[in-house]
Amino acid sequence: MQALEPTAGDELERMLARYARVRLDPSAAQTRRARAAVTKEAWRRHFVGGALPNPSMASAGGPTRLPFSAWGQRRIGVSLAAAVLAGLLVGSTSFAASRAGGPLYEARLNVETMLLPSQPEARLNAELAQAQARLADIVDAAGRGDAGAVSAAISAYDRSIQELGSPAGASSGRALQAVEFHQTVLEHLLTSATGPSVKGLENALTHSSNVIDRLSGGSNAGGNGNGGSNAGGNGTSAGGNGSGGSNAGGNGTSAGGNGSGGSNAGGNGNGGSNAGGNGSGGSNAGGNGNGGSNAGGNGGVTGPAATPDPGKPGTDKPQPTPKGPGTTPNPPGH
Amino acid sequence: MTVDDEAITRLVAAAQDGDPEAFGSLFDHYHGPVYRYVAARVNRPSDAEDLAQLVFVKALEALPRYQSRGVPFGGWLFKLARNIVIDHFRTRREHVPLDLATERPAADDGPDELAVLRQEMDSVTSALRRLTPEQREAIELRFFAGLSAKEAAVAMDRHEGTVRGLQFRAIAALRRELGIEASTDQRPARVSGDGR
Repeated sequence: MQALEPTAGDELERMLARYARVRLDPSAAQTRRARAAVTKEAWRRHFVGGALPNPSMASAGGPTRLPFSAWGQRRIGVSLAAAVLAGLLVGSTSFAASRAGGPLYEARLNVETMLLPSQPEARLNAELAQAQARLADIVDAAGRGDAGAVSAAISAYDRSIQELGSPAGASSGRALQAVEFHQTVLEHLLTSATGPSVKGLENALTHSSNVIDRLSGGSNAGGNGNGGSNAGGNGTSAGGNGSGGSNAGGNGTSAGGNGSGGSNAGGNGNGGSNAGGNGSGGSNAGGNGNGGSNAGGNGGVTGPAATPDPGKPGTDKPQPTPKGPGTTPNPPGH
Repeated sequence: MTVDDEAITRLVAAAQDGDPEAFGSLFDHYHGPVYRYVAARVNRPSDAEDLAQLVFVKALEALPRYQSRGVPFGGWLFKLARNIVIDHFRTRREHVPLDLATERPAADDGPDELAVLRQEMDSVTSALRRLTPEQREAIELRFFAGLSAKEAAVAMDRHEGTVRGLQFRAIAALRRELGIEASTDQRPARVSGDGR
């Protein structure tokens, strides 16, 4: 069926489109963060049949109750994933000595590393495959109940994800998705792990989280940016000094940084100390800070001081600067 | 990204079967519109980010129960978004002036352009404020989220004709407030199918 859609006329439609772009569009960093969280939740549900609640999602209003029957689904999910991942090892059974914990394991890893291609895209693909294979090693070793092998595989996995480097653009998204999936697998292994494996898996989860932080915006992104949007860097511990453009000063957890010019100078920070940073000029100078101490920072000439989220209070109140630009520099990469 | 209705239907079916990649594609298609709709309602960027994300998590939970019979997926998703925003206001009871919303002008805008842009944004904000809540929501769903009248009707739980009427009246009011003359600018109503 066809229907008449009301139109607003060229001029009004253009104005509304500009309004949506300037005032309402999500930033690339916001979209990336949301996609990472939502995709992770989708994979988690795929993995466990939608039965396992995610604590971080539960805090945002998600489900918190684990149905009793879910344990069966969960076990099936873990077993299925273990089978799939262990399947990656099919064909390598004749190389038992080179399995995780075996005498030739390290030698095999060294050979694999030496054979990595040099072309960036191909290298990333090979590194992702390698990290996936190390994950399969962990699952295989855990399935055999071989604590030594688990430890060796975890150590190898840690090395493989550290070597992922800092891919850009679509490659970064692929790497991010892969490591997020690894986290889901590791978290489930952790639920059934005992003894020394627990510590190793926890370390692996910590390392994979660090890699995710790096891939989803770069931890300790800082530096000095001029012009353009998002000058100053985005990411955890994003800091830096930005000038010009929008979002000068950086966005991210523990965002600090100093911005001048443009809108939202000073950046938006969540968590950490001194979230918010100092801004001068432009609109919304001073940034928005949530949590942490000194959330809010100092506002500049035209912009209001920071707006700390009442739901996530900081320990200090915003400090509006009555006149003149915010000149107190913060160290980059706060 | 352009995804037609058939592709959406296929993606929804795949996502219902538990395909995370399909749900990721749905996210890519709808996140911008959902975020814009939520941001227009709550005004605070950090809330908009949290709530838009929550919309998709809730959608993930509710997707197995979604049945496409006569209900466009976009309408269903925005109904979810609308309920989440209403819950947010019920629990938080706070309002932040629209002026505090983050602005993202084009990177190459100079000071003069920024000043003009800001003036225009303030005029639109002011004109939107003068609409009734229902008219404003009808405009947000139509022009910020890009929904068809049918999808907006599902989201608002109203008849399609009612929503279309709200949109016509809201457009007339906005044009009046913003000083846009109808004779030089108004085009006939656009013919659309069921989709967007």
